[in-house]
Amino acid sequence: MEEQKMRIPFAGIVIGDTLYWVCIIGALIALIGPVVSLLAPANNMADPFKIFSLVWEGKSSGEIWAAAAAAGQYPGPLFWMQDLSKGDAITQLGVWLACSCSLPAALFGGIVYLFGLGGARRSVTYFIICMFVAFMILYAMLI
Amino acid sequence: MERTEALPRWKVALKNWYKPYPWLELFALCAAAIAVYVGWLLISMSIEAPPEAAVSTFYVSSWISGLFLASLGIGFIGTLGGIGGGVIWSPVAMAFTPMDSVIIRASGLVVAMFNALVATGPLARTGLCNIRLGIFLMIPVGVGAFVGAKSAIFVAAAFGITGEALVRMALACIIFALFLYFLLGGKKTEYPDVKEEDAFTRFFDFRLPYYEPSAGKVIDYKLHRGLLFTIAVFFVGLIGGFFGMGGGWAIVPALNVIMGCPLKVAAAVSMTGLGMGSCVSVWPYFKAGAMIPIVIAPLLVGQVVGGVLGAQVLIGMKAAIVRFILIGVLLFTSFGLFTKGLALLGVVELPLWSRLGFMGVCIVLVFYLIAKSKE
Repeated sequence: MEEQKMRIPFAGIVIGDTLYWVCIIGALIALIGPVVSLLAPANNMADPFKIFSLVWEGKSSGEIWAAAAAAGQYPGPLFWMQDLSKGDAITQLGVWLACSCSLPAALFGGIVYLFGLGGARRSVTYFIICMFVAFMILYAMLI
Repeated sequence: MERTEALPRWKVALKNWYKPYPWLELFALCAAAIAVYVGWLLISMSIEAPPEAAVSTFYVSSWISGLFLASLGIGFIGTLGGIGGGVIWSPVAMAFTPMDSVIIRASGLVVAMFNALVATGPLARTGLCNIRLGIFLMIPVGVGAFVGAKSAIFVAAAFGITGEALVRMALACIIFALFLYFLLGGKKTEYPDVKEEDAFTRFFDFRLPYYEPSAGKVIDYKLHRGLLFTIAVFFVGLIGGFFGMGGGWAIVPALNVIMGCPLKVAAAVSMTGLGMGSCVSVWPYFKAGAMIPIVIAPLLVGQVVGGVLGAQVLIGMKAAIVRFILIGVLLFTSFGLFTKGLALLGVVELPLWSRLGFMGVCIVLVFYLIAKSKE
């Protein structure tokens, strides 16, 4: 009976579910990418065959990108936007999506706290905290 | 209803395979992972690499599948032990592989964060995860981890091989301290008795009662010393971001011992705060190019699958065995890190037999601890 009386905070469900599903979708995309990379080695931002050799030789990331990338340098975390048909761009999209999952989670959580959605108690303090968290992630992504 | 509850976990999974949260997505992920990491590995034997490639397609596929399996095992054990995977991956990779330490630390954060992030959804739905505390925790952890990650990239660029050696030796000392902590147990209590909340903790309204099925009642707990806890976890985030090892090993005891948080709640909150906090610290590595997609992807998938699987197996598992294995791994890793640091500095390079001998000592210690616990 007591279990039925307990109300699970709606903000928690929104934040938890956003993290969970974005991670799973990101993981599924990241699963496909490496196969596409190896099926069409020429259709990549960086040569996958060179990358693994260089990683196991202990080269730094700068040296690896300089030797393996067609551009001769790291094309940046958003290189998947340039051409999503490339194998490593698909992989990067999956990793990028999964690594950004906390941003929508914090934003959605903040909205729930601000408007008291789903029967949640309104809280300006937690709205501000959620927005600060979202700002921190956005700052880390952009700066 | 009762009959369903009495079924073994794997039978419940098979019976409910089409139901999301977690069975449908768990089966879909496992099927896709098997198809890619086993199926593709076999297919890759017959696919020829381009003439200019230095290695074969099978070689690259083997490494991808190997990284996935390593991450799956670490994610599984990290979830069962409640400490995340970063504390295992980063030190082991630094001690026993030739990989660049910045790449290891970037991948370490991925290993540390994703099993925590996927666990947050189910934990929040049970009410065990105090989401207000988890979101608040993200601020000191996130700021500390971001500063730590930035410092790591600076140190690697400024100090070269000497920096690499010193980082490994510093991490060896931290891992050895963790080994002692896990060996001696610490002062954790399941339900700490907090008499009164302080003004800081009251302002943030951290209290959130939850239903505890094992006790059959609602647990309404108080918390205190929130400011001290905030300062402490800032430093945990700093160390976690610098070494790419997360901070589950320190945040659970900090929540329990400093704030007086019930142990199960502390474990759940730690997952949320750490996972979301690592989403901040991972970006300096991402932007520096240390997150190499083809290397990171299998680790990420391994953590997600291992985390979801581990959370399901945890229900009927004896966690003490995992803790003893972890003690052995930590001791061996701290030794490996310290000796690798000495070798990089050119002080001394130990022969292989001495490493194997020390590994034997660690294995004996694990068996001794298991036997002692049975007594």
